[in-house]
Amino acid sequence: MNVTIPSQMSASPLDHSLAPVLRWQERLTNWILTGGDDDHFNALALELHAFQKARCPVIAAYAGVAGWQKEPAHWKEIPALPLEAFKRTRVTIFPEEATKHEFITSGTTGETRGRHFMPNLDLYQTAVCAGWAEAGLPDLPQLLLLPTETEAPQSSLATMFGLLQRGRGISQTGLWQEGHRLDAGQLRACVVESAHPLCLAGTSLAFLHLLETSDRIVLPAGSILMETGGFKGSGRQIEKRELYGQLQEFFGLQTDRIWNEYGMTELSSQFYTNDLGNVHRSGHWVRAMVVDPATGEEAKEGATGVLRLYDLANLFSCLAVETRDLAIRRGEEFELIGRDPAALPRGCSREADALLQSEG
Amino acid sequence: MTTAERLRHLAEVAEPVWGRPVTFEAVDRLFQEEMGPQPSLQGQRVAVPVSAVCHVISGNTPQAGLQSLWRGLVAGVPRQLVKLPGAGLPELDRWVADLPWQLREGITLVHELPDETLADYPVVAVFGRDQTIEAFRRKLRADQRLLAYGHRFSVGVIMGAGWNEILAGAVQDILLFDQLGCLSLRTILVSQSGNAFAEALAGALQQACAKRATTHNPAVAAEIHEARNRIRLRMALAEPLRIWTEKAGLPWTVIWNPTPEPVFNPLHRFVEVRPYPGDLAGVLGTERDHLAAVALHPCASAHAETLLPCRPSRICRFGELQLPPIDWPQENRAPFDGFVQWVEIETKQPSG
Repeated sequence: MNVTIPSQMSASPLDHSLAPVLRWQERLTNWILTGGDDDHFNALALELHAFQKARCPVIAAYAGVAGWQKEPAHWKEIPALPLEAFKRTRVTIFPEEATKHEFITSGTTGETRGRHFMPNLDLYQTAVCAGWAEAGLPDLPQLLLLPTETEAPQSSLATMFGLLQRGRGISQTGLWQEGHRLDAGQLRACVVESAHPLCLAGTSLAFLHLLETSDRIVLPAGSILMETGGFKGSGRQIEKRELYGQLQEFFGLQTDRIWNEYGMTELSSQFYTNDLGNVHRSGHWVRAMVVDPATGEEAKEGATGVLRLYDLANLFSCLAVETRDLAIRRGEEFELIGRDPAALPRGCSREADALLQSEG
Repeated sequence: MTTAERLRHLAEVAEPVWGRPVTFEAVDRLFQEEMGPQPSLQGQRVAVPVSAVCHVISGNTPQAGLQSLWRGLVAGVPRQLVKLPGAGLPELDRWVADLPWQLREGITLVHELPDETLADYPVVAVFGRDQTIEAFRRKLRADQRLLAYGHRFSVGVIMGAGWNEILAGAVQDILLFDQLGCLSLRTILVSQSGNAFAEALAGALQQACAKRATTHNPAVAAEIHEARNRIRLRMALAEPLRIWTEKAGLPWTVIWNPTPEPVFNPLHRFVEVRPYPGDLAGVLGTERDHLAAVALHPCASAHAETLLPCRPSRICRFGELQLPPIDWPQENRAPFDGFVQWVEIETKQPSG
């Protein structure tokens, strides 16, 4: 039997000066732009973890409490911080007064939100733009069914598209309205006026709304569609296969022209996949590991487990995070399943989520 | 089949329904007390079974469905439809298959429930989450009666020392139905030495689970894994919680939580032990309206009375939590409420 007792957080003074962090930023930026092999990734990840652990007390404390070995020898042994940490404490390695950007997770009313702080967006922009390119995504003019970064400065998703616009020179037209309502007429006009292929990007919820309220809008040949974000907090659920079938019909696209972006506020890089049943991929500075929740070890090939992500662009907080999502291990990559609350057998016992929410 | 024969058959098959043997005398007494003629001001009141009941079982514990169906049979409802959850309930299938044909012929088990079928039932008992109940409320006509059984939770309360004697009972209340029932023990509140109780409970659970294989589907395993890591994170942030687990796997988890913030509980043998400040209502907050039952130690009237403001439908000993009596007024309803139509037979002249 294991018993674990609370940690004593380190009382030693922490180095929180910004200069070493910015030196790391330069190293990582170069590495993202120039590339590198697995050995190099491993070495960088281990070194960055040591740097972050020395500067962010929760990383070291959690590693101790959760029973991780003290000095990892491989990136897969680096303690992965639960996303919950971003809700409960400030996960940063730089001085608080240097904070210039704060991204907040979406969620339902009353729910505690996760927060991700950054002193600048330079590394984030490098990762976002390089990730877009490595995924082979075209720099088509974008129609956005989501808020712009001006409208939602604390949305990492809105910021990501803003960074793409600035970093890759992609033209963008915002079509989002308050409350996930869309002006289908304006979208139709933009599509009709365009003589070129387009990238139509938006949240899954926005696309669902469009499917339910508008007549077909056929995109120009060569266009792509980028859906992201799921249906969090909306109470809506639809099978991905069904959604893609409807999107295919509505926009006149083959499903291989429909892409999914998988990212999260607590990370600085994104994963992409297209069509159905394919793996998600990211840039060479990112790794994923599917973990068997019963053992905490890497899941066997083809098995379903919890997804851990290792993102070297997550310099300012923690490079290793454990998501709430389930995924199937496909070699060193993963097929995303997500988290379906309906899959949980509950019997007639009242859900703990409900209990927590009502007290929250 | 006479009423007595019916009740005798139902006593014989009651053990899987109620978790323990039930005598014919107990079933007969229940029937007579709940359905027998009752004197009224101008004559007598008699209960006549309704023509048909539809039971919607959306969870995956067979108990709720079995008990509802059993009550319908005792009441003499001639036609009963059971809508099973998607994954089915093999226990319920087997139980029905083993009934005498006279009882079995009035029962239909289905996996789909079209609206036109639902419209044919004057009484619909729905077991499930709030959204499920609300969906059925919208579907039913005004003349159809909805018996809603929402999700509930149960707790244990230990007032005073001497908890060694109830460890085995607490373990049984936790293990039965994998904590998925509304009468499953999820949280135990302890007035003294809660930390030590949690440790002792962990030891008892370890012993009890040693010979039981535990497998969870990936979604459940992920919930338990994540819930444990949330605790560890809070501990990393210097909150005074403790966690006991098996060295490998997810067979059971015990948390000692002396903080005001409850832990996320994924069920499946995951128990939170908290201090009991003497005020159950204060501990439960707005959740108290969803309280099903309390296991109490010492189970004495004086202690039980202090819990009444929380209006649990049962207060019982540890080890009995999952084994309600057959006349238990679940959800504040008499055992045959909804399954019978009361008829007032006014044979006397009005007085005064």
